[in-house]
Amino acid sequence: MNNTAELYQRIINFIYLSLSETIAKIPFGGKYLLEEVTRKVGEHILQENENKYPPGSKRPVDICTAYLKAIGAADPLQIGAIELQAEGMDVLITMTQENCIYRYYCEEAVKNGLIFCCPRLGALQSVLANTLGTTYSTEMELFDQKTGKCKGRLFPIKRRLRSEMVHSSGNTLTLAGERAILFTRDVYISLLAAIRDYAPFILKKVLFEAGYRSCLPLAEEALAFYNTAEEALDVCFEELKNCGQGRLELVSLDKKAGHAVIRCYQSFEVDAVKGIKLYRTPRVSCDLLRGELSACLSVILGCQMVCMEMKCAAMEGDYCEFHAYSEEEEKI
Amino acid sequence: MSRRCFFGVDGLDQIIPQGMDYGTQILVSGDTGVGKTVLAGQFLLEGLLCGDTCIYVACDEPPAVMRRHLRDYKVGVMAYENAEQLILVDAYEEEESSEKYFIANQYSLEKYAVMERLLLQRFAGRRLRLVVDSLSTLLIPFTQEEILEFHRNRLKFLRKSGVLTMDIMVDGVLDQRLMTIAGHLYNVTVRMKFGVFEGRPDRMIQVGKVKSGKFDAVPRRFGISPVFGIIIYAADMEV
Repeated sequence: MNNTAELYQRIINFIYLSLSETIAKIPFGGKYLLEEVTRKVGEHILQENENKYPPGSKRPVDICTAYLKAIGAADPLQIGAIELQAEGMDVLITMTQENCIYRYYCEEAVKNGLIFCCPRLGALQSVLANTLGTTYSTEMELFDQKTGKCKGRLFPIKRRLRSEMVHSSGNTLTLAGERAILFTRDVYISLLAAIRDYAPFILKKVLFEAGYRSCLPLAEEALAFYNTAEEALDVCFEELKNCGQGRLELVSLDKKAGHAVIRCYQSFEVDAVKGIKLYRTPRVSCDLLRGELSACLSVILGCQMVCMEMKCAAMEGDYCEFHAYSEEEEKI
Repeated sequence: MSRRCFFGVDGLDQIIPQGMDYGTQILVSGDTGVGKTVLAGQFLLEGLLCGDTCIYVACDEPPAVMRRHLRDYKVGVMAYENAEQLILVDAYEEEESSEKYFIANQYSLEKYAVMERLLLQRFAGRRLRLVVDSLSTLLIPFTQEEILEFHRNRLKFLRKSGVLTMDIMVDGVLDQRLMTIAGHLYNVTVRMKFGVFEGRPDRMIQVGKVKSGKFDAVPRRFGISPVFGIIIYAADMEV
């Protein structure tokens, strides 16, 4: 490779690395956005090679093989470097990393704990989406130094995180296709202060109810798409985190007894009430989140759950802790 | 322990804007059915939200009634009970009680005082709220002298221990003179009664005393909402 090619290769790696770094910082970033970039790159390549690529079989692994064969002549690095294997609708990919042009990006992203999407898989992801009409996602295993290979998987995704699909179109903002609005802390606090001034006794209930009702559709969707309660809760927590509520952690879950303990780190509600006198005395303050968690747990566990905030970082400590019990259990 | 505390009923808390110290003793007296236990429930909930350990001694009904009452207000009682932040003490069923905490043989005030102290000592080091509902029931069999002696010693101990205490007394159970004397021993008194407003039956609440503190003694009308509990009507509010 001459110096110019080497320089361009480094630039490509830096571009991808910068994308991973930036996406980690921007709100509503996440894997979806990075996958959109790698997938779009793949789509452009696909468009250029469309006439060389005959879609025959409908098996994902065959589609990927046909595509790689079609562009193989144009990209000598691909030849023999990629092995494909079918696992149901998934495609397992083993790639030799030695000559991979994205090696620097891959290693740096993994080393720095950044969101990473393999650009090579992005192309295949695009091919599968275009041919099958199914949205595919990717995941990579760490590079194995012994074999000099890395492993990846292309798999059809059940659903995307709604909170990652934020688009600005003209003068409007949409979240998963629905019109959305970003609330600043000032707006949020002003809402609370207005409720406190006119009807202080309803403040905590309003926040709880708002959280509960707004989270029901999310919880119902998560329940429909995922097999286990843990997976469904995990998705809900990810969505809530993306919306700025803080990082949620399921500390324990006893589905049979209907009992769960959840922690929230860096709760928005804790930060929001800092410096303002919303209540007469310091107290647990995350009622919106309490409502959201109650809705998630009630829908996903299939029984009405009562969730209480037992520790709040607004009072002490560095996390908020919620304990939830099923209403039935409560009655006993 | 320098934190201030409140009742947890907004209109009532506005009457005592400076709040109360932990170690304050509150006497709530009033007619049967006027809403004293509802006030007690809100006082307990306020404590739970502020991180206090709340002890409720049920003398007139089993603790299950308070449990149900709190649940009606969407309070997850189990979470608080399991964390030993809410302690429901059965002083109603006596030996037949199936509760974790119960006080039996209440026919000795000394014994009651010892058991109450032991219970409080068990949670020493925490910010404590104690509600006895109703204390007047416990005091029925005793003479005036015994009651006053018990009262003085008990309240002195509670003050020294920094326990925020709410004693509930039902009107007409104890002699009026005794109630007046006993009332002097408390830092804060709250009176709840039925009345008539513009020809309709109504509920009234009045702060009768706040020792060394500002308060507004004007009686206020209030209602009980199944969702929000006690709602004190503003002076200019049409109901």
